[in-house]
Amino acid sequence: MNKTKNWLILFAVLIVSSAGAYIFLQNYISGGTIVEIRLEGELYDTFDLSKVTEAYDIVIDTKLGTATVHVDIGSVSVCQADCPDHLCMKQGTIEEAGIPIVCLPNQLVVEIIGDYG
Amino acid sequence: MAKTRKIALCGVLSAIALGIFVIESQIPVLVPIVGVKLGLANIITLVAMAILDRKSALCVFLTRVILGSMFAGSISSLLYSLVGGTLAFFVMCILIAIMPEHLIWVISVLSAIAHNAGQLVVAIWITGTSSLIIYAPILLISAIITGTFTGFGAMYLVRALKKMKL
Repeated sequence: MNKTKNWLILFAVLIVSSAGAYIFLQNYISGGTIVEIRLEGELYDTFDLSKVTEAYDIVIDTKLGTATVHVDIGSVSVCQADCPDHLCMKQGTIEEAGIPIVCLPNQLVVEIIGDYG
Repeated sequence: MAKTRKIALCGVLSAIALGIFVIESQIPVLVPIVGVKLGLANIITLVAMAILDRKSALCVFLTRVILGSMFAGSISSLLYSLVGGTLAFFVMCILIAIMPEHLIWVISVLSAIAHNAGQLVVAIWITGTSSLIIYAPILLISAIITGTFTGFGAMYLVRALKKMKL
C-alpha cells in the first residue's frame, strides 16, 4: 500500500474501466423521443420530440431568472439561461437518450427518456 | 508550534485558498460537463492538514467554501461544495494519518473521488433525475486526473514548507 506504483496501477485501471463503463452505458441507453423537463426536482413539461413539426422555445421561470429550452425538429437544447456558468448552454443539443442537459444553479434538467436494452 | 503562529498561518492559508478559488472560477470551463473542475483550492486544505492539523484545516476549508461561494459562485452552489467538500475532508482526515509523505497525492485523488461522488448524489437528489448517474464514470476519471495534479501540487508545497521550518 505504500508503493507509488501500486496506486498508479489502481488509478489507471479505474480510468480505463470507467471509460469502458461510460461507452457501454452510452450504447446501452439510446433512442427515445419523450422529452422531460424537470425543474427543482418536479416534472415541469413533457412532450414527444417525434411529433414536433416546427421549432419553438419554452421559457421557464427559474429562481435565478429565466431559462429557455429550444425545441427543434428532432433535437432539444438550452439556448438561454440566467446562471453563472452557462454550462447548460455549452452542453449543446441532444437528439436521443443518454446524457441529459443539466443546469445545476437553476436546478433544471432536460432529458430524453430512452429505450433500454 | 506556537498558537499565534498557527492562527496566523491559518489566516494566510485561508486567504490563499480563497484567492485561488476566485481565480479558478474566472477560468472558462474547458469541458462542458457539470462538476468537472480543477479544484486547485483543495491543495491548500491538504497542505493545512499536512503542516498544521485537522482542526486548522477544517477552518481553512470552511472559510474558503463559505466566503468563496459568496465571492465567486452563487449561494446555490454552496450546497454542492459543502457536501462534496465535507466528504473529501473526511477522507483526508483518515488518510493523512496513515499515508506517508510521498503518497500525499494519493490522498488528493481519493478525496477528489469522494468530493465528486458527494456532488453527484446531491445533484441527483436536488434535480430528481436518477439518470444523472451516467456522469459517474466521467466524474471518476476527472477526479483521478485533477486529483493527481492538485495532489502533486500539494506534495511539493508541503515539502517546500517543511524545509522552511515554519
